Amino acid sequence: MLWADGVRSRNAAVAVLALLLLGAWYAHRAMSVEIGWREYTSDPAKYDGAQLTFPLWSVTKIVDDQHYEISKVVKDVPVEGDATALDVGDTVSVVADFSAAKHVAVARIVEVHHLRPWKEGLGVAGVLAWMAAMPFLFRIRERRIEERGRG
Amino acid sequence: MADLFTHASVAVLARLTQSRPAWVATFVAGTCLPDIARVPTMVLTRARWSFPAIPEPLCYIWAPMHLPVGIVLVSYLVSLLFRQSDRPTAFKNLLGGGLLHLLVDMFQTHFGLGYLLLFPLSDWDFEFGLIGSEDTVLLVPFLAPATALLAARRWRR
Repeated sequence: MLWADGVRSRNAAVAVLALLLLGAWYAHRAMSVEIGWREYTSDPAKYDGAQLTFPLWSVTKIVDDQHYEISKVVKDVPVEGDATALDVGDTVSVVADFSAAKHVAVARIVEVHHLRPWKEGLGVAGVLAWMAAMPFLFRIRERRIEERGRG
Repeated sequence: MADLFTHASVAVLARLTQSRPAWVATFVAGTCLPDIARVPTMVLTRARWSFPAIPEPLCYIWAPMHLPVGIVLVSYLVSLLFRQSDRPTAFKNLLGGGLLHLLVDMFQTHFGLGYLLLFPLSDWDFEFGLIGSEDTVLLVPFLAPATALLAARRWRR
C-alpha cells in the first residue's frame, strides 16, 4: 500500500499535497506572529516597550554610529544601538525593546555571528560536494535510483 | 542548523563506525535533505530585498521540511524514486539520516524559538542549547580528516 508501484504516483501526490498544506500553515503562522515588528508597528502605542527578538538577521544598512537597519523576510527594520563594530552583510541576533515614539527597535542584547560566512561557505561546499558525489554513490537503472554497493 | 559539511561528516562517522555498515550513501543523503530543502528559503528571502513582488509566503513554505513531520514526508517522497523492493529500506535510511540531522541541530542555541518538534500539532519548541549556532564550524578541522580517514579505510576493504 505504501510502497507498491501501482500506487506510487497517487502516494507521491498525497505527500506533496501534505507538504504544501504544512508549508501554507507554517507561512500563515509565521506571518501572523512575525517576530512582533509588523504587529507592533501596526499599533505602536499598544506595544510601546514590548520586547522584539531578531534571530540571525542581516545588517543591510549602517545609518550612523547609533543606528542601523536589519533585514530577513521583513526588510529594513530600524535598530538603535552601537553600530561602530558592525558592517553591512554581518549577521546579528538582536533582543530589543520597541520604541513607539522613535519607531525603532532599541537594542538590548546584540550578538554578532562572526563565523556565519564560514558556516555558509561550508554549507555551499557541502552541497557542491554532495552533487559531485551523487553519480559515484547512486545509479539509475530502469528509471529507478539504486545505491551503488550499498555499503 | 549546523553546516551541511558537519552534518554529512557526522552521518558518515555514525554509519561507518558500525560493524556492518550498509546503505551509507542513502543515510548521508537523508541527513543532507533537510538543509537542501532550505536553500529556496535562503535564496528567496534575500531575493525579496531586491524584488519585493516575491510573495512572502514563498519564503516560509519550505520550513516544515526541516521539522520531523516534513522530514518523514520528504524521506517518503525520495524513497519512491527507488525500486519497489528497496523502498522500505531506503525510507528508513533517509528518515534516520534526517532525524540525525535534527538531533545535531538541536545541540545549538538560538535567540528566540528552538525547533518546533511537534509542528503542526503544537507550538512547543525545544533545543538542548549546548553550543552556539556557528560553533560546528570549529569542529570541521577535526571532522574532515576523521571522516576522510574512515572512508579511505572502508574503501580499501
